[in-house]
Amino acid sequence: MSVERRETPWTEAKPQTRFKAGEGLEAALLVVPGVALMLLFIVWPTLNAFWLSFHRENLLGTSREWVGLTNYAEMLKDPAFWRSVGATFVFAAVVAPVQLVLGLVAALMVARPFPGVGLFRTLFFLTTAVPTAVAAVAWGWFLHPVGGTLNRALEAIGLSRQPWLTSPELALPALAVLTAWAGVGFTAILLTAGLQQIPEELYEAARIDGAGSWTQFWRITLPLLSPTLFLVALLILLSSLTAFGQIHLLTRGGPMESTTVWIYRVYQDAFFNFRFYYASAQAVALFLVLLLLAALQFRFFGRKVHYG
Amino acid sequence: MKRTFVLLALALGSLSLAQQRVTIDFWHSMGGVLGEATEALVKDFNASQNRITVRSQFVGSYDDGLNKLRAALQAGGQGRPNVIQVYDIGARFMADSGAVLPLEDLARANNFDLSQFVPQPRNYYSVDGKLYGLAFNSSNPILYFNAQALEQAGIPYRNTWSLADLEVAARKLTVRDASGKTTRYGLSIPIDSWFMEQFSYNSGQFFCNNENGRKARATEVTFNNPAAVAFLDTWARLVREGVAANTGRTWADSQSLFAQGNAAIAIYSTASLTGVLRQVGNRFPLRTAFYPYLRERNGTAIGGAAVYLIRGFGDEQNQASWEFIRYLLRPETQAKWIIGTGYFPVVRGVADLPAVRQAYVRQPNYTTALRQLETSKVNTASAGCLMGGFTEIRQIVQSAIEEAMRGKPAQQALDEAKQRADQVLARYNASVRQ
Repeated sequence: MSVERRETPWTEAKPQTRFKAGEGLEAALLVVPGVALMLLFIVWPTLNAFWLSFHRENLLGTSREWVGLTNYAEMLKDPAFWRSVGATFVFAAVVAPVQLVLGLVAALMVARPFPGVGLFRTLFFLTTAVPTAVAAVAWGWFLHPVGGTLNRALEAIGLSRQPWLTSPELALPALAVLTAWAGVGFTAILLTAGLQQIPEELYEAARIDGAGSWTQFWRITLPLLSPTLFLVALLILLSSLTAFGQIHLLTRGGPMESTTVWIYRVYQDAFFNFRFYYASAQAVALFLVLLLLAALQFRFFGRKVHYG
Repeated sequence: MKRTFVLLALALGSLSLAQQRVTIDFWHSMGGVLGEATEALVKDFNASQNRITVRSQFVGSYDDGLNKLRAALQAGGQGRPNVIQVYDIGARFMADSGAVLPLEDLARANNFDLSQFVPQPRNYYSVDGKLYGLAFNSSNPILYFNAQALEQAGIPYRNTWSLADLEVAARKLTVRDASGKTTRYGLSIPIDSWFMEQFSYNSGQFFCNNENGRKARATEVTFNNPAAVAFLDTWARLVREGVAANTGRTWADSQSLFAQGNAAIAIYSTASLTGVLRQVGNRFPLRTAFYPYLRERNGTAIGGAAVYLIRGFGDEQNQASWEFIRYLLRPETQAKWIIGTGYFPVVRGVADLPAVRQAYVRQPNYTTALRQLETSKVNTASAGCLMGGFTEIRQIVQSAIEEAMRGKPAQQALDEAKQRADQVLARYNASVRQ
């Protein structure tokens, strides 16, 4: 079986647009607010962080001196930094597969229309629509060490309650699971779009050849979905490396710093410890990792994918 | 026609008023019930006279407020407030920042008698012998008892508890099912460095060197003192034995446990009293008592926050800020503030006001904090530790508490934490000299 995959919409070459005289200026004016906002709130702070990371500041940040790579050198020798990097990747390693599998299951359930599909699509997407703060508070009740719903349920079936958010072993995985839960809706939407791009004829042909739904999934769905899966996996990875709200609200980096992930370390060093220069160095390092992952994503999706 | 004239007159009138009026900015970090009480004070002040308008703004947490202030000062002072509320442990930072107009200077210039202050809040916010901030919301930690559980266990209520007595009571109050699993904890304390600090002070020990940084700038932490070690050792042991609950760092998680009757004794701030009383409702009678100590009760330091005047404004503005501070210091204002919030007054003579007396009769638990304050010895231990980098150091102490709960000996956990904390303190002190 040989299938040539259609080009995905975002890789299609756009027709060349030519502006008439005067239109160019108008167009430029229209993009000015957007570009200005981006420059002001994204590009400028990023450049500022780069610049600051080569400095040391006094208490109030009113005077600073150039120190070159000192902050980076200190960072690489700082065990707290490496612990946070480790926690970040453990976190991502739990979030990505859980969210991907749950998202895929959800997407498979709602990809093809059936009566009531709208309800299920809404339900799955609901987790993404709930604001992080609300979700975190709800999960906080659910996971309360003594009176939480989950622990009472465990006790009701004869198991012992678990310190979900108060033990250094469980806190990070628990946060990862609730992060994955929150992202299921978004993942499901992307994967549903991917599923709907798979031509129906292939399934028809497969059925005529006598393939069961299990075979169809492994031979048609998964291979044809794999580019989308890869993209989604990268997106999940990128977002899980910058997860913040749920950690801030539920554990504040504890217990025993087990949930102090990279970005939380940056936050604490900057806004609690008033070491903006050192936090900037760590933020720049995180930025480079994210950049690398993003580049990987573009490289992969910038090319056409053929199956022969 | 007539209406137009009236409107015009009103507009002109308000215009001329606006020219005389001085507007000052006040940043605070009081949310919820406390935020409402704060806004009410500001409103009352604005209504009480017609020369000064206080524009109050809730700036998020204390840390958020400090960050905003820092950003404003970095931008050359643009947008900085006249008055800002900063938490207790920011006292060293505020003095070192050079951005504060010491309250003592203003008080002296305005012939305000500083002896009107209750000594502990004054001592706490005095840096290098000078009073910098006005203790706005002052609290201390207290014991919370489920009085019904106490009675059922045959334990008589007492006002003062040593750590050893508290442990005995907690053990007695713990209820276990047939399999030995705890169904009601004897004790619940949120994981917070503040309780370690206060236990040190209340046992006459220091949390940082140079007598809590009161004789000279603190250069080392001393939270591995015998009292703190004993406290952590007991606390962690009780957690491991299932006598004390570990509900993590979130106070609310411990408070819900206590309010539902699943923990018989708890330790919170006096400022938690209103909220806890509301949560408990009619479930059981609640009683409060003084904070525990190791051998002899010395006295607790105050917690909470102070308001500071920021430098760089003209005399007229500073005078307006002082008027506002002066208003906050009035016994009637203090009375309004403390009734219902659980904080205690910072000037003398407030507790004797009829309104306060009535409130205290209605809910005697509110007097615990005040009586604890009045019976605390006034010395450098109960003045509280004054040092920089305190927020970061608290994180380190909290990690040490968590390590001890998992079985690391308390002494070792605190000794190791001291190494890290001393680095933070050294770095802070170096950044001040820069």
